Parts: sequence; structure tokens; C-alpha cells
Amino acid sequence: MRRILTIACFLALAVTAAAQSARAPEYEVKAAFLYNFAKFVEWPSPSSAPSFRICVLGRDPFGLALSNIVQSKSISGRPIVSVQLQSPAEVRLCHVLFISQSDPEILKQVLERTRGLPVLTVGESADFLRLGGSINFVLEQDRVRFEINLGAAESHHLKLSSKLLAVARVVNVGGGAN
Amino acid sequence: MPMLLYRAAIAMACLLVGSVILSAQTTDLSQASLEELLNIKVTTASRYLQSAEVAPSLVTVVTANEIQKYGYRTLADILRSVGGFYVTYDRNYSNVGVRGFNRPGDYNTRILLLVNGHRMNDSVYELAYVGTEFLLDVDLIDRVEVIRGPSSSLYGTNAFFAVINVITKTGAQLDGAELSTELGSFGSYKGRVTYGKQFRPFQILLSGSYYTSAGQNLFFPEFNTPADNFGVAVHGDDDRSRSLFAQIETGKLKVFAAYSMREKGIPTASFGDLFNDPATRSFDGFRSFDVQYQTTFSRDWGLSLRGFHDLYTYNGRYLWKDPNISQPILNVDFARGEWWGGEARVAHQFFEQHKITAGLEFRQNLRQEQQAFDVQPFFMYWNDRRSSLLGAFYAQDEFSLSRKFLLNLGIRHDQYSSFGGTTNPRLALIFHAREATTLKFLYGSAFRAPNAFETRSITPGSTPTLHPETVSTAEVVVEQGLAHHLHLAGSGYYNRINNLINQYTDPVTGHREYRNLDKVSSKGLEFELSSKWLSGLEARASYNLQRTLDRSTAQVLTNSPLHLAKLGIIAPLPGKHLFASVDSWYMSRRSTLAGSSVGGFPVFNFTLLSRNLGEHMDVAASLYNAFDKAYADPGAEEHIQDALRQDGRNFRVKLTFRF
Repeated sequence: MRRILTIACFLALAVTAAAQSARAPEYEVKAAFLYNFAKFVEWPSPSSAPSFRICVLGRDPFGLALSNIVQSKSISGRPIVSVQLQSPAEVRLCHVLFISQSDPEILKQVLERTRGLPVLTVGESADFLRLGGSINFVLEQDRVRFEINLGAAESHHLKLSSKLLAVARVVNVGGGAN
Repeated sequence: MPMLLYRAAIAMACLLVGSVILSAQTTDLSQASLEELLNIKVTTASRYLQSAEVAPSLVTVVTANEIQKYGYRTLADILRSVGGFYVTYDRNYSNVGVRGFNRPGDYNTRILLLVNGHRMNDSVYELAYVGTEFLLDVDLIDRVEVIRGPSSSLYGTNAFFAVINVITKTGAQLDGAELSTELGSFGSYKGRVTYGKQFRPFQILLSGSYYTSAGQNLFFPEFNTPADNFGVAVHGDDDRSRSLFAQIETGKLKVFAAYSMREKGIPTASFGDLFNDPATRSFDGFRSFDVQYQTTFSRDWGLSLRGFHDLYTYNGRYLWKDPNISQPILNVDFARGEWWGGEARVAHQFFEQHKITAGLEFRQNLRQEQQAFDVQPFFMYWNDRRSSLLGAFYAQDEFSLSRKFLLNLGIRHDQYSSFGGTTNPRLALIFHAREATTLKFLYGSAFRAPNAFETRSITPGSTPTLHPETVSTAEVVVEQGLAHHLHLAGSGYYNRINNLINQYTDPVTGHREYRNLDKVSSKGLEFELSSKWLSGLEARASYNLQRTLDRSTAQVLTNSPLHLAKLGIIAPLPGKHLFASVDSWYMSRRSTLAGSSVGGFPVFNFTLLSRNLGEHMDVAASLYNAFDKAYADPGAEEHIQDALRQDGRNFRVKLTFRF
């Protein structure tokens, strides 16, 4: 027992020592990115929707992170709300749509439903841009990066600010935009 | 043992201080610029603690969505839908059978029931309450994780056949007030008020429920005489429960307090009680308090701390008739358990390949009281007060041998002040054969410690002392992902159970006590198919083939079906947010204590649900046992009835309003 006690205390101290660099849980950072995307993307004619909606479809990996980030924030005068979608039929109500799903078949079906709608689709799987998604998160050396499929974003009538393009990896997916 | 307690407390204090210092340093990500965000190193939050929770075994998860759409009323209803599980009801308590083991008269002690990781088996009988006597209203459940197989290497006693972890909803999930009311057959009514909200950085959830059911006037042919009202127990089946739940959490800290009290009429005249007297009833109450702190830091470290306190009371009031005394005699059976304790768990990733989890646990049973007496003329059968201590430590290594092979090694030692120590290992080899195919080879042992109720029966100083019951399990699991989100799992298992505790009557003195007597072995096959389509269509099906034998008689155990099959389908209907579901199960013949049997039967339940009716209301209508199938569960030794008839067709209508 004494040994375990010692180990436990040692662990606590080691942990304290190790926690100096700026780190944050993955999905807190991704949630902050979603908010930034909303800031640096221009939607076509402001709709009559009373709120700006960031939607999550599929398993919600954010927990409280997303609603914490967008709380009391607004985009062109409209309060941001985060919404967990119950069904893909609801995508038309979204401005930003985050899809946690990685199954290509499912992704294809969901992205098909957003075709032509002013929705910024954001994903985090290898096939996302190829299947017609607009922005894809990737992890590189423990940091969150994102790739943009410009053709796809344009097909949704969205204008991405140069500030966003400057820090993204812009990829061209032949024919992938729908 | 007090030394152990002291050291555990110190260790936890030490860890707590360290982690609180850490959690103070956070960045406000909502104000961070794009460039700043690009420079933040990320940790994957749930990686360690979650994997320590999820046992390397066949796991089934039932979600709030399914609870609503299938119209489940109790945790027992939920467990009935899980592959390999069957629940029997003696019109007082519900007993959960797993993989062919559910001996009539045994208490519900061989599954471990957790609420948000907090142990709910009491400290006197170590029962898991799953019926109307369960701590929570099922509407507060976010999901139920059912982990099959022995898990004593992580959880200690009672994690014998399965661990059931009930996880509650959060305040943010509710986001407002909810009023729910339901009406059902047999004069049943339930009301619930819940409020949940997020006030940064807190989330709170408050809820209160009240349930009452007049019950049925049940007919028992065994009592069909003029003196016993021709076998009809009038007003003897009533059920009343109330519960309160409060939870507050921040990102890392989670605190809950819960209270429940259930009063149930016992219409079966068990234990030789007077038939058709509604004064025979039981009262079961819980008060639970739990503080949990979970955090991850610096990429590779996870820490979880918990402190808890529980109070359990049982009060049984039984009327019986002494032929020499004109008035019926009231017998009171009383038990009270009070315990507190703590847990600390640390997880760390070593050299990419090793994920080590180590933990400490202690529990102090402050009071384990049992009393049984007749009120008039007064006679005390027993008045037993004891207390005990438990200390445990465990370690687990998830060792990635290669991309495809994962070895999971776990071991836990429990030290009891009452009978000594027991050590239980678990070993699992997980092989990702292909992207959609996983094979698991599992071996583990688990124990159930003799509880205070069983230990009390032993005359102090007598030679036979009670040892823990043990089970050793070998299992092979295949999980296969098929097209369109179809998931298939198959398992073959062998259980070898020793030292089962059973009642023994001394042939000379007539003294009754519990002893380690029986040996059982069981083998079986289990299949589970589940699928979810984007359209909202969901389906699950399971089938179990099992054979559970008493090794000394080579007979199949009583109340052990050979076949068990389940089917559930949820279909979205045309129209907005409209769903229909069918929930059904089939159980084959089971033998009874008297050497007879109860027949196999299928049961079908249907539910129609309209969500967001007028934006703020859900309406659900359910028909249970829709085809009015007459079926029965085997009775136990305390019952004159060899079989106890179960509910026929009944309904429930439920309205839920949100504000």
C-alpha cells in the first residue's frame, strides 16, 4: 500500500510539472474553429432566420464545448445557437453543419442533402472533401489544421475571407464540388 | 485496515490538490484568434478514462432515444430488451437473469448496478434494484451501458455476470423545464417535474417524480378457498414510489444527490403470510450522494476521483397467523445500511504502446443492521449490528502489440475485514482482423462476497465460514460491421461457477444458515444484430442459446431458458416526428422449483410516439403484452405458488411538455 501511495503522489506531482505548455482538449479547439469559420465566411443575402445556427449531425463530440464558445456571441446581429440535429432532414436550417460521421456512404447521403443550400459543411474524415464537403479538420503534430475545398464552398454560394484561406490548406478536388 | 483507509484518503487528497492547481490554468478559446488556435496543442479528452470504463467484452448501449421510442417504464424494461438478459418479477422485486442464470429465491446480487459510476448495490443484501424501486426515473437516463462478463478486475464484488452503468442526462440536454404525466392500466399514474439548465460554467439538473399504481386484484389458484376469498388478493398489489434527483456539474466536477422511496403491497402471501391482507408490504429507500472529479492533462494523463455516501433502508411488514392466537401477528423485517468511501484512478500512456490504469478504492460500511421481530406478542428473531471495511487496488494495461493486436491485462485485489482477500484477473486479446472485423478472446474471473445478510446466519465461532462465490469465464467475441450501418456481434462463452452460496438446514438442530454449496457451469452462444438508418429506422435483434447446469446433479437450473430471442424495430412514420415501435421477446420453457415448468412465450409491446407536437409536447401511447399472452415466472421457496402469473395486456399514455 505504501508503494501505491508513493506512486499516486508522484503522479500528481509529475502531472503538475508536465502541464506547462498551451494545450486544450481537441473538441474545445475545434469548437472555437467553428465559431471562427462563421466569422470569416460570408453567407448570401441575410435570411430572415432569427438565429445563426451551428449544427452538429451524428455523434456530438463537443459536449459543452460548442455551446460554451458560442454563448452570447452573434453573427451579423443574430445570436449564434448550437444545435444537435436529430435527422439529416434538418440540415436546411443550418448555417454551419459539422458532421462527425466518417462512413463514406453516410457522408455522401448527407452532403447530397445540402446540395445548393447556403450551408458551410465541416467534417473530420479522410474522404470528406472528396465527397463534396467544404472544410475538413485534420490533426498534425497534435495541432488542429483544416483543408478547404473552394469549389464546394462556392457551390453553396459562400464567400470565404482571405484571412481564412491564408491559414488553410486549399485543395482542389476535381469534380467533387456539388 | 484503518491504516489502509487512512492512506487511501491521503493519496486522494494529494491527487486532488495537484489537479486543482492544474485546472486553474486554462485559455479562453472563445476569444482566441485563428492563428492562436492553430498553435494550440490538443488532447483527446475521453481517451483514457473512457477506455478504462469500457470493459473488453460484449457491450450493449441503450439510449434515451430508445427508452422513449420503445416506451420503457423501468430499468427492468430496459434490461429485458438486452440480448442474453431476462427479468423475472415476483410482484415485489425484479430479478435480472444473465445468460441462463437466475435461480428463484436468489437475491439480485450477481450484477453490479452503477449510476454515473456510483455503486448502487446496497450494503446489507447487495441487491441491485431495477424495478419501480430503482433510484431514478428512467426519463432522466441518457444511456445505459451493459457490460457482459466478469468485471471484478475493475469493479470488485457483484461484477459477476454483468455491470450495468446508468448515465444520467445533463442540465444542458434538458435546457429548460419538463413536465411529464402518464396514465396506465391498473390505476397507474406518474408525474414528473424536471428542470435543467446551463449557467456557465455550471450545469444543473433537478427532478422529482411520483408514481402510484393501485394494482390488480390478483387471483392465485393455490388459495382458492372460501377462507381466502376464493384466491383473490384484493388491493394487495399497489405500488407507490417517489424520487428526487439533483445534479450539478462543471466540465470536470460532477455532484449528484438522489433520494428514492418505494412502497409495495405483497399479494403473494410469501413466507407463509396471511393471504389477502394488504397490510403485508415492503418499503425500500435510498439516499445517495456522489462527488466525482475527472480531468485529463498534458496529453497523456487522466485522473478520476470519487467520494460517495449512501443510506439504504428496507422495512418489510408481514402479517402471519399463529393458530393458537386469535389476532394476526405483525412481523417486521428491517435492514439499514450506511456506507461511504472513495476511489482514485490514474491513467497514463507509456511509450505509445502501453495505456496503464491504476486505482484505489475503499468503502467503510458504517452500519449494517438487520432486525426481525414479531410486534405482539413480542419476539425478537435477530437483532444484528455490524460494520466492515473494504480496501482494493487494481491495475490494467492496454498493450498495443501491433496495429492489429491489443492485449488488455487487468488485476484487482480486494481486502475485506470480514473474510479476507480475493484477487481477480482479466485477460483479453483484441484482434482487429480487418477494418470492420474485430475478434476478442477473453478470460476473466469474478467474485461475489458473502453479504451481511448471509454472514449473519452463521453462528459465531462455528466451523464453516463463508467464502466468496466465484466465476471463471472464457469467451470469444466476433464483431462484424456490415453494409449500411448494420452491426453484428457473436459470442461463445463458458462459465464455471463455484462456491455458490445457498441456504442449508442442519438435519439435526434444524438451524438454517448459508453455506458455500453449489457448483454450476454454463455454456452458450449469443448473437446480436443492430442497425440504424439515416431515415430514422432502427432495429435490433438478438438470440441466445444457453445451457446452465448444476454440476452436482447435471440438471438444468430452474428458471433457465434454453432459448432467448429479442426483436426491436423503430420506424419513422410519414408526418413530422412520428414514430412507431415494436419491442418483443421470446423465452423458452423454464423449469420450476417443484419440478414442473412454465411454458415458453413471446411478448409484444407497441409504442406510438409523436415528438414536438405543437413544438413543446411529446405524446406517447404504448400497449404492453399486446396479444394478452398468459405467461408466468417460476416462484421461489418463499412462495406457495410454483409459478407466478405476469401482467396481461396493459397500456400507458404519456404526455411530456417542455418549456
